[in-house]
Amino acid sequence: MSESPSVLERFLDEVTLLISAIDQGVTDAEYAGDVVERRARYAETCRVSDALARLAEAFEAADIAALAQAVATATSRAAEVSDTSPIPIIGAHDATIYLRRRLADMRRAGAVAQGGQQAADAVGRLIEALSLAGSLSQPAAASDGEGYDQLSDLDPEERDLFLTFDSVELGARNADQDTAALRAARVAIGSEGEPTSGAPPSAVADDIDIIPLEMKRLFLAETETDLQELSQHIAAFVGGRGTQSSLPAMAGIAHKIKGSAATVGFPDFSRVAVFFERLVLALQSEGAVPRDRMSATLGRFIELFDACVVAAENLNSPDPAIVSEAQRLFELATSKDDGAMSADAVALMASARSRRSPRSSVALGIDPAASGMKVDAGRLEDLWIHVGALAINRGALANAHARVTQASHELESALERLQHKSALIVDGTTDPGRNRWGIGGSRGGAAPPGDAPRYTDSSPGIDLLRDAWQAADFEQVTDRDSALVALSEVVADLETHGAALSTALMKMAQLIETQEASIAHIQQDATRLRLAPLKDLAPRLEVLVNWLAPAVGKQVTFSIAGEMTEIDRRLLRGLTEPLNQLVRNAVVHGIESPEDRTAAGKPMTGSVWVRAYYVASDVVIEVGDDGRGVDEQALTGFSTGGEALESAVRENVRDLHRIFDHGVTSMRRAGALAGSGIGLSEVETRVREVKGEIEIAETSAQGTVFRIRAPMTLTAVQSVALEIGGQTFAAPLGAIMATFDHVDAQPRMPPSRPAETSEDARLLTEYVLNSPESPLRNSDTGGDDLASNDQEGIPAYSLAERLGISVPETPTAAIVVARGKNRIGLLVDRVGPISETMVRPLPPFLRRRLIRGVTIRAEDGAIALLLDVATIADQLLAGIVSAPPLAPAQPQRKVHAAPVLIVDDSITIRRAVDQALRQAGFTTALARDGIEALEFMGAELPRVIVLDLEMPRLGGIELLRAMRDEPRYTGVRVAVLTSEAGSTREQQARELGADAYLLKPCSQDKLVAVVRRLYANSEYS
Amino acid sequence: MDQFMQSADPLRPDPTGEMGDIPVPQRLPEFERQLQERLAGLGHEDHTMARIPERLRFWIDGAQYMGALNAMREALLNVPRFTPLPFSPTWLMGLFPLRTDLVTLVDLRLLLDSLEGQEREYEHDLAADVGQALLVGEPGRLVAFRVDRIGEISTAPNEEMDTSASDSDVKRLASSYVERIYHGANSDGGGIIALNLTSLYVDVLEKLEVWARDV
Repeated sequence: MSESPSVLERFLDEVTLLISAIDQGVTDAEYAGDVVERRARYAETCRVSDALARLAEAFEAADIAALAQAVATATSRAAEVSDTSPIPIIGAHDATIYLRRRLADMRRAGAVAQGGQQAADAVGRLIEALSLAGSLSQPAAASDGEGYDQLSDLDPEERDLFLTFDSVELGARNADQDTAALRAARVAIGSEGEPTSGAPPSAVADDIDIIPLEMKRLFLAETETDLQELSQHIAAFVGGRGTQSSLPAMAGIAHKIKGSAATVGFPDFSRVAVFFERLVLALQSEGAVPRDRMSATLGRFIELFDACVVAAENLNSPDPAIVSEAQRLFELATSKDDGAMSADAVALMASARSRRSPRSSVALGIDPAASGMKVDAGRLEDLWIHVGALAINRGALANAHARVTQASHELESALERLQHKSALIVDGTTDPGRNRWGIGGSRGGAAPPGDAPRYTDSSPGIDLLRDAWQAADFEQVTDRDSALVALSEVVADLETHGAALSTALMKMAQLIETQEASIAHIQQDATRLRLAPLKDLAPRLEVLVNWLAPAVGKQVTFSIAGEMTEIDRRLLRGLTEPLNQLVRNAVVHGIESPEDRTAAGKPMTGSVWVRAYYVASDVVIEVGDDGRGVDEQALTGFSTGGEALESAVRENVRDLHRIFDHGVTSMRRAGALAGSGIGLSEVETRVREVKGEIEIAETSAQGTVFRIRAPMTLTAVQSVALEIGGQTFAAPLGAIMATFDHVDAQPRMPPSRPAETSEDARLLTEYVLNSPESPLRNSDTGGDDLASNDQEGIPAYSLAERLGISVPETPTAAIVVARGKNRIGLLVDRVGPISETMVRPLPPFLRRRLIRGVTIRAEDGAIALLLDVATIADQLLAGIVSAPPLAPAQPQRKVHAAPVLIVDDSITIRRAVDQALRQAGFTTALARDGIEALEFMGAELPRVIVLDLEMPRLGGIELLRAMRDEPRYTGVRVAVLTSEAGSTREQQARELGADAYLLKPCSQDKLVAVVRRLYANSEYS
Repeated sequence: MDQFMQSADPLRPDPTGEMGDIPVPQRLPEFERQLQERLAGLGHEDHTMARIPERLRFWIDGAQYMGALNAMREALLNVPRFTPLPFSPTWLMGLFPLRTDLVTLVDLRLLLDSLEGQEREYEHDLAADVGQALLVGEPGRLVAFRVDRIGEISTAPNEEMDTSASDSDVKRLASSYVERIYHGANSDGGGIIALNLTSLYVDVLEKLEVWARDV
């Protein structure tokens, strides 16, 4: 049946809704609290299924109609059953999975196409399964543990076969044609309502997933909470606490995960939950396996669930071995062979190391880190973004206020001048000697005649108006008299409006201040919403220790301190695996056997602990043990095959940090559970992914402490502004040891590097910072005094060069970044203020390794890129210093860094000159008169000044005179831009140091040419 | 019908709880009523309106172009100040904030040059006004194509357009990006090129993703 795209779209939307309603109805029925509710739910689902069948019939989608009718029949039967036990409908959920696949295929095909023979077979099998509904009086799983209420009880291959259908008849896929352009063309054609020509390519059914991402996200968020709860129950059960309540709770959680996972399209995840549920049910039944034997198995199941979560986050099924292992664990735990249990469990655990799925660095938009409350992290993200937008608007509002305030000042200034000029005119007309009307004194004279207004207030404008009225000869009113009075009225009106404007501005300033405080609170609240306490991880770590220690024949206690320390949920999740691995290592490697501990004079039971605390805006998490410590000798003398380490050993490099290198281990023999050296390498990778660092804080025969330091949140960061080539960047303060406004940086060519080679052209220039003094500020990162041990200077590189930005001269400001014992300078044009900024990630397609995200500047609403200076420093220290790739394609920005100061009391002139110079690539600064110019030059030296002569407070001649007396202004070039023509004035200006004398109006080209010449000749230091 | 499609569906999952605690059975009659209406309406769809596309004119380097209006989100008459992104292709000018989103700014002229194989160096003037741009894409993946000037909206039936894409002016462009050509529609007798902005958008994202992997 050929339908227009819009009709097809609607049909598919309708069917999608109905399928969701069926899925939800069946699930609701399965979880119904009593038989009445369950029957009601099945009855509703029956009606919805019937509606779907009718809709599908209308569109001649025969298989969908048949299957929907079968579901309707099955649910109708189930609604009539009054048994109090749950009655699952075999195949109901699988029918919805089938329907969704068919739907997706039709969506891709752009038509209501029929399924193939295999589809018909699958429908036949599903209808057959559905026909069993109502014929079962008890769920199979509950009665004998052999059957199961879903088709997922089948082997994966069987199940896939069951649900597979052939979509070939819808059109062969042509990979070559399926280019981006073709896809886009299809969209374009479809959007214009043109009929599709022929059958578009169809995707393989397994590639399709139309279950909304939102549902998967919600499932993962919920499962995260469920698994934490499950860990707590397992810990309680194994520890002998609350056994009676733990098992039912565990079964309930497993059942929930089972149903939800299948519903959102993770059937294998569901299968793992099935085996766990069966295991718990077996434990509940008579003759259950002893609790101590369950410790390892239950703990291992948590890890299997974790693996399923990781896979689901990547929209994948877990490794089939995960499901097999779950099944095997279930079988072992319920077998009668006690001896086989322990050995097999250990073997399974050992093999698990190779099956851990890497967590995707790009989580495909799924963030289940929403434990503790039923709020999707994505929505929190939205809230946070909107709060950020509010903050930016607040900044923009403040800027607007500042501009209006400045305009108000300009108005006042203009009004003052107008008053002055008007007074001169009025005085001129009222002067007895020059008054053509012959009326007496200008002020305080006779009262105005007739109906002249009577002003009781006094102000310059009102006085002026009064004078004008008094001066006018109302017997012989001329046009000039009228104009004079009108002018005076305008002045008075301006005064009134100016006063009103000032009052309004004051009120506005108060409102902005109040809003600023409110936004700060909301920002803080929004940030706190993203935080989760470390205690969320505690049960999981405890379970890990409890099952792992017996498996390796050790006695270990676990404790956690600072568990209320909060950290961003995303970061906490990112640190889960590293902490798991560190605890695992502590148990397996760190803690000695009871015999060894006794021999070493230690208690037989070892101790593994986790401690968390804050340092500035970072969180520090330590994992420690009282074991044997890292064997440094083994570390430097043993590798699992890495040649690099052997080379390092030859060079007598003994750096404990090498334990984080891939393939490096302190174990003299790699065992089944650990010792391959891969784990710690992975730990460091994971920690770095969340912008953290890891080190061995202590190690001795009394124990080892690993210390992780990570930012508390990646979304709000204290940053310092950096100006590079006219562009403002930001850098997180935590990574910066010190900042300097002025440094002496000299290029250094390493003797080992031959010059003038083609390769050299791609290398960055290395500079040396010679013991910079008086750092502006030291961050609280714990770095020691910068100047005390840098006699040889600090190596430094130009950030502009690293980022591919051309700048006219060597930058003279710097930040210093400490990386371990090393420190490195990064040269910039200017170091700006520190501020608390909210960080947003770059869109995935714009990600750059050296850029951590973007912040929106409050002052102008523009974007500042947040540089990952730690990574930049690491790359430079590691020698990865090549120039930016594809340099020809890199936009070059020619920006003059030091400003041109424009001094003029006319806002029109200031703006015109400002625009012209900025367009020419100059950085500019503005001042309204000589006083403001001097204030500016006190803080920053311009290279060129464009100077008006006639200005209030301090005019251009006076400014030139002041500059002449101050040696530091010697190098500053001055171009006078004035309307005062006359050789005397020009001569006076030139004698005081003006380098050019331009008359208004001046062409833009001429102005720019003069400024450019002066800029080049300035003696800037 | 459209009104119905936009209204709250009685059976639609309601995670926000806006529909309160009304149980599904009570919502079902309303749903069935709506379904009847929908089924009845599906057979009387009026397709004529959909066949007349609306296009927006714009200029690049003096040449006239058009883009389907329904492929755009907005026409930005004043692009805010943008921030360049290091390590980027020439045609990627940078990004700028727009309300609560970040927008990727692409110079359409340089992009078309690049697609043609004429990659060239170019200095983006940070101080100059960016000009105008066509906003395309979805939130989180918004792209603004910078053009010299945006003109009026034109409505013309498809039949008046040549789909051969053989005009010499547009041979240089990959045909997949040219939807239509209006021959002689220009005042100087030249053609107006209707670009497939969706296709360009998709390819820009793909190119940038590939690029991002390398930098």
